[in-house]
Amino acid sequence: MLESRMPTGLTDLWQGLKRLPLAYWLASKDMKGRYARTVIGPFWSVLSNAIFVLVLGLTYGAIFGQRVSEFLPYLAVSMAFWQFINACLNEGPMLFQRSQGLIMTYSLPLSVYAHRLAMDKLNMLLHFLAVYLVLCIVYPPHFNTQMFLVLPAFLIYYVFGVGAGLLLGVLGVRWRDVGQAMSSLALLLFLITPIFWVKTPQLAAVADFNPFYHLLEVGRQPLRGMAPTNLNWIVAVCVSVGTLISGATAFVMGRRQVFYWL
Amino acid sequence: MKMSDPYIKATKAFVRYPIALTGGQQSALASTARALTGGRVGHNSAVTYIESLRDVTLSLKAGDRLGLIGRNGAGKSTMLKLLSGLLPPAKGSISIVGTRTNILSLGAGMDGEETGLQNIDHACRLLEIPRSKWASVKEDIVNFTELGEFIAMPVRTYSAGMGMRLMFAMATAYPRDILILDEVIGAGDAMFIEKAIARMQRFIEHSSILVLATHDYQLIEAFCNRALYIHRGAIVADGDPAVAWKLYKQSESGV
Repeated sequence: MLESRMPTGLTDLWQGLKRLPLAYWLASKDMKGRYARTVIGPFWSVLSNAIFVLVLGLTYGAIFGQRVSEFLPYLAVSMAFWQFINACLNEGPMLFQRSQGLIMTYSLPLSVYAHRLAMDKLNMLLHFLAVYLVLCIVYPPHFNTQMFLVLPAFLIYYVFGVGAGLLLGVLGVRWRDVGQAMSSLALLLFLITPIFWVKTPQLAAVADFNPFYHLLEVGRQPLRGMAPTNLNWIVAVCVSVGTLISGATAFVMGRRQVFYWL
Repeated sequence: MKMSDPYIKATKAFVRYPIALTGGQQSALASTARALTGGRVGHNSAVTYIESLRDVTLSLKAGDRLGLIGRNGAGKSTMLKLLSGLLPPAKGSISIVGTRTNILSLGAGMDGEETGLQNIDHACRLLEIPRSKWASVKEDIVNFTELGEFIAMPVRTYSAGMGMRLMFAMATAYPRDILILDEVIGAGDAMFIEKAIARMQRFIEHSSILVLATHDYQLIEAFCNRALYIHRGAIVADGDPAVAWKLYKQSESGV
């Protein structure tokens, strides 16, 4: 077995792709580790999300004059997909710092850790969707074939997650304020994106010019039994592929520096 | 199976560490502000560098067991990172061929919440050992560590010596081309060192390269057939361990 131990960024990306099962194993270990020594384990995230959705849904639903039967499921499915984006923005900058021990000990391609992040968050997303599933029993949506459109949406999210991990990981290891900036940005996005409020004609522009609105739509619309618009798909694909391209570029350029700043 | 023998070759390599002395140096806002004003903001306009290795030319081939000696801060740990490919040189070049395992710091890459057995399981995956070998590798590690019931306890309950034993056993459980050890190996007691030496023989038979940093001549004598004495980031002596050690000791008493 001959392996060069000084892979360039591109080789690293390729070697990382060949190790998706390993990344998946790391991601499921993250899920377990997050709830080490707890009794109900991953159900903590489901439970806290359920409480959040319930409280916010009932109060804001009343404030905005929404019907609970529509607003609660909408909020639950929105929150599940939003949590994915939120976690990528917040944890991306810590990508390499968090894996410092592994990076120093094992000679795995660094891009594995970006796949690990995306898989972990996809895992979380599926957990969060449990809240929506329960609400579906109480308030059944229109079950139809549109729901299968969530599968390509998952792929779009995965690509976004890997891209965000590579981009923010490389930037975050060099500049520690990237992490701070991202958590502010994530909060801002949470407020200005239709997550806990519903897009209305007066607010249409706020939503339409927000790329994350389209990213949310391709995920949540299918699960509510509706087809996302073509614009939703186009913008969502552009956001995720664009993030991946900028992430890969930053990674190829900055990979050497990661070890120095770690 | 081997397509080629492992080697490490450094040519006129310089390693410079950027040190963020102030927040401003690791701040994107400050960097942007500097770029916009032509770099005249504050006194911390440039990143401070520590030149930790200077002009390193070194060639290691299969069968080389290199001991790194030098005083604190001489650049031993940086040298280990350079030779393991973790730190690309700022100037000069390094080429490394072979699969590698590192023990650079105690507990690195281990999960304290998980038991010794679970950590062995993780190591099998992370070292990318073929699945068919897992059972025998695990058994070998458990036997070597002699941790008894502790093997089923969380690693965070281990003493430094126990942790070291587990790490060393994991790193040497499966033939690798290059093994890089920092002085953490000194955490083991005399009995461990004795066992470790015997285990290393097996490794050497696989024509591996060993690089070991230490302050302990006994370890050098036991493990190494070549020694590198470095002082202030530069190689002072490279060759016979006894000779290099003598030079090191002389300089130490001379200061």
